[in-house]
Amino acid sequence: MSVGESMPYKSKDKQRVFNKEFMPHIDAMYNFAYRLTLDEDDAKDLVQETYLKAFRFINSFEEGTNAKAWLFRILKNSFINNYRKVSKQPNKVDYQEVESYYNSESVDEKITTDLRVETVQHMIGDEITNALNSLDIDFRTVIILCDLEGFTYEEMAKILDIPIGTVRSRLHRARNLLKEKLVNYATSMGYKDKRK
Amino acid sequence: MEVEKKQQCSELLQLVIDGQATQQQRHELDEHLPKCECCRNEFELSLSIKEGLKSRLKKPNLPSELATSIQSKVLELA
Ligand SMILES: [Zn+2]
Repeated sequence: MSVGESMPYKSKDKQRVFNKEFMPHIDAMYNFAYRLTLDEDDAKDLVQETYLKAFRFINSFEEGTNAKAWLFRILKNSFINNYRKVSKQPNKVDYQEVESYYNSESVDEKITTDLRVETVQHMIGDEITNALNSLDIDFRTVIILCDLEGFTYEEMAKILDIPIGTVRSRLHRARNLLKEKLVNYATSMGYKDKRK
Repeated sequence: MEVEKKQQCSELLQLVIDGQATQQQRHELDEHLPKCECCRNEFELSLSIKEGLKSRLKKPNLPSELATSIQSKVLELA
């Protein structure tokens, strides 16, 4: 992810690097775009725009470094520029409230006792998908990057332009929020707690 | 469990679940889990959610023409 260190590629190398390093990630890129936009056409446009940008800025990509993380970072930034402005975003105060609330011990424990492993194991894809999709975009993003794509905290920090400590605390909050959504789903779907 | 200790445990759980704990941290958790039901529950629950996300989340189908469309646009740029 270093910028401007390497020599510019020759024209034929650009094509080669693009096809060899970037194209194999198109599936993961489309998944990521779809989970951000929640719309197939928007996801398509976002992926295409990202790849064209990647080609235009290919000289700032160093061959052999982490192409997937590099592409994900471009996609995430394009998403913010194109789509985020129109959606309602929580302000700083909201975030702080969420932070202090979800860092408290009682909440962690309550969620854990209200949601059973067996319940989660019986949930179908739709329920998990809906719970994830209902999270605020910042929280959804860290779960996608970590749990679905398997990026390390360090890679996530680079993709999201935030410190590793923030990655970890945001991930923790995101997971608590997800658990809370799953509790609500479980309750509304009438999952039985076998202990009661 | 006091709040501070609980928070340390949560951080440790997360590192282990995400495969980013050091050997010593994994060992620390292995020692702790048999002694603490609360952390054991949280650990198992978090693992099952991570597993559910990985294996049961609905995947969108990549539009078949997307890759070729990108490659032909890139050829125009080149
Ligand atoms: Zn414990």
